[in-house]
Amino acid sequence: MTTQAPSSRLLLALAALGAVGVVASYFVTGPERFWANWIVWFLFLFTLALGCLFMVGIEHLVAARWSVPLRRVPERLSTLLLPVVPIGLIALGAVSVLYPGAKPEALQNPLLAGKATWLGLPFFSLRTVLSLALCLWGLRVLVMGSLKQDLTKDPAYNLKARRFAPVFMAIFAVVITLLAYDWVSGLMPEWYSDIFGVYLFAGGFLAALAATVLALSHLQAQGRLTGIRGDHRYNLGAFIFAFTVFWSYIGFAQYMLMWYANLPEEVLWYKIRFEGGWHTLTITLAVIHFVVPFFALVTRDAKSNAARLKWVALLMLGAHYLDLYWMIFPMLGKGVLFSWPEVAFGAFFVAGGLMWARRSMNWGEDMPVGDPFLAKGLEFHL
Amino acid sequence: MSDATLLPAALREPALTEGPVTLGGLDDQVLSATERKPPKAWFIAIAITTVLMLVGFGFIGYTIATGIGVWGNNSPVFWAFDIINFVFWVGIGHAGTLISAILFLFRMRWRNAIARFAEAMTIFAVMCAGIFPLIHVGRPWLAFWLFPYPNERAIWTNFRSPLLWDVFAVSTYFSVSLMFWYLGLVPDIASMRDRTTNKWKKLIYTLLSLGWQGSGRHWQHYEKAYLLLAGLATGLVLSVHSVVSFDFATSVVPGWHMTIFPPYFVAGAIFAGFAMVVMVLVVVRETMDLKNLITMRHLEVMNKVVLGMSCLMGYSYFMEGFTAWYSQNVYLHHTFINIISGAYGWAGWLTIICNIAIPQLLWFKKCRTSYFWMILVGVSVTVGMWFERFVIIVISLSQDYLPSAWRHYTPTLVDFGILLGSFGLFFTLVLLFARVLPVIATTEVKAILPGAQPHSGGSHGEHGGHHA
Repeated sequence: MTTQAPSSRLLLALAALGAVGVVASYFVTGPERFWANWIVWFLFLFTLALGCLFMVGIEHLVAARWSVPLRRVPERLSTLLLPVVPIGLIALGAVSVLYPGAKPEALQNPLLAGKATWLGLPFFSLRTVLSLALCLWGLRVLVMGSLKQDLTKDPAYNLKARRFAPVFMAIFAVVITLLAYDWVSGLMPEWYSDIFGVYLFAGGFLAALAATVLALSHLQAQGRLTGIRGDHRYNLGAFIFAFTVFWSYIGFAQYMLMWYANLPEEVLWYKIRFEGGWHTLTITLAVIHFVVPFFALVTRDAKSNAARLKWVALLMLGAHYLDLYWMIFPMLGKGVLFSWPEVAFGAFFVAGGLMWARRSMNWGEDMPVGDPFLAKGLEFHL
Repeated sequence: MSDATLLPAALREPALTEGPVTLGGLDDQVLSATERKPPKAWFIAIAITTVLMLVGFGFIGYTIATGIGVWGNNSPVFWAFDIINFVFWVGIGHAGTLISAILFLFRMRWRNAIARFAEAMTIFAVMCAGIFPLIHVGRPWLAFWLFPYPNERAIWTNFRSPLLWDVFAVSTYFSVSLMFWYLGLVPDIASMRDRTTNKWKKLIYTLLSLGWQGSGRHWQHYEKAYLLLAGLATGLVLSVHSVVSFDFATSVVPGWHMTIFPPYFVAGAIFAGFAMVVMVLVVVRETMDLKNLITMRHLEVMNKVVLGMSCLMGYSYFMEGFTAWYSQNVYLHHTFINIISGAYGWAGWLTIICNIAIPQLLWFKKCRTSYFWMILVGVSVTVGMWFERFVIIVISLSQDYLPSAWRHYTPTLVDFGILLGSFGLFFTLVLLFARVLPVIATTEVKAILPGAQPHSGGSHGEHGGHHA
């Protein structure tokens, strides 16, 4: 605890400094860039928190046992959904600035006129509010219930969570798809790709796994969660490995099909990202989101190696940021923009997110002690 | 484990086998099926399937002798039953690979009892699938032109064609699946070799078991090879049907060019494959006296997979429909409306009802554990998934960009004959397999018997399951 105190102050200072930069950027570099940054971080935190909730949900859905001892980590991280709500509501301010479908000119464009109601601010906001509300419901049932079980030790929670898990999967599919269509591809509303929701899911879930690994290693460095061994870590490593491949598979499928068919309404998305500085960034994304983690984790030992997993996890969080940046920023049409506003946003949201995550690590017991399957999870062997 | 008895019934996990199963008893139960004379029902069944198969071969012979003009294919519906059946059968194969490879990597121990049969079905399904592109080339004796090799014609294959990728994807899939299956069979064939008293059988089994002695070193190599092949096959589960989907999705035909196609085809393949495996296992379990090894729990879990896949299919169908509207693309829109209301609208609705609506019955435990309902769903999914490919291929092709080229498609007797023949071939092979080789991997089931786990403190733990 003594080592934690100064770094908490550091985080606070960083967040405060970031906040100043964030506000300043609105006036200095203009609202468009401000909102683009805001959306990147809104999506970053939302997909990460939702991905954590997905980890919890999938455990209940398939009745996994190995992950019970470490479930509290994604449970706690998924509470990031709470600060995501105000961030998301503020993000609605971006709609009329950045999203062509919500601007009055959209009605002149024959491709947009037919779906103007869908793209317009009122319906857009309704979908966002509904998505946030559904996520909070999921958080309440899955996570709050689990925290309560620490005290009650009542297996009824497991039953309830198992019954709720399929419902949550449906919620998850709707929310992540809307997020992809509304907030990302909505920036170029003529463009469409029906895999896009799955693409965002793959990246978000990967970020959630990475955050879980980092939080786990942080807690273990404090001598907590000692019951979690290399065998558990191996599974997390294998999941990260699998999902880097899955992300690449989905990303490649989308890219290859559009490249092959070469339809004007589709290739524009990639054409922009293959011009100027974006070209380098596109290749960088493929390298750090796929090539590096693939080779870093391909061997068996690497997947349970704590140090290796930690830096891969850190890299994956960076890769997720880059992925979102790569999706949002080219739409500003101004080339690669990365200077003090982006750094300020990063400082504000990373420090703020870490403060929240750090605080959340004290909610409930470190392991779901009321879960009847905890013992089985602890004795898990490869 | 200790407080398992305090759990509500719904949270308790049933055992993977029912009743007392001993190591020796397991060998007797599974391996003796290959030693007994098959029952009368088996002869009747194989007679029927063989006739179907021969009818199919007859029609294939007729096609080859006459030309593919005997099919209903026309311009613009250049692809029809041949490619529908190809995609259908490749899809059926996917359940086997998923069960044997992906569930193995996920350490789903329930898969051990059913992996062998499912893998065998994979191989037979891919064999059925392979026939269709072969006969569709029209002159199958020149099919080797599909392989890239320096030749006197100085013509290379088109490496940018997904059809060529298919040649590689499917043949790799077949070879890896066959190796994986055979590798798993080796210890069991060795057991059969040691049991049999027949001289000829002994010779054949001796050759096939590759000198297996069950030594520690043998097991060590076996498990390493099994794990590696499982890793390879896992990639193939995704790649094969993705490449099949590229046959469609790379083109600009409305209704084919969808970015969701690769994962959606994979999900559909697993869906159809599992439905088929459930139906066949119900028959195997009842007729081969294997109820204690292939338990109702196995069937229930597989039905859950079917349900999950049905929901993924529902998502994909919905996204296709939604994108047809969202794109505001008139061609895409037209194709989608055609699926639900055009001349083949019935096929579109049949697909949706069979694949999305009926499998929802599996939300109920009663349906997941009742032969009647699970077979009803299985048949519905099999029909639905065949028609899904019909919808994708025929509806999209029959009306695309140029209205003056639109044409209705009607299959001929030959089309139906070859389709039936492929079912005949598949089930003939399944029936033969059930009597010639052990339908359950006895060594893998031994690994999940109580006391076999390396950390359970049991005494049979020397080869306690490859990381089961």
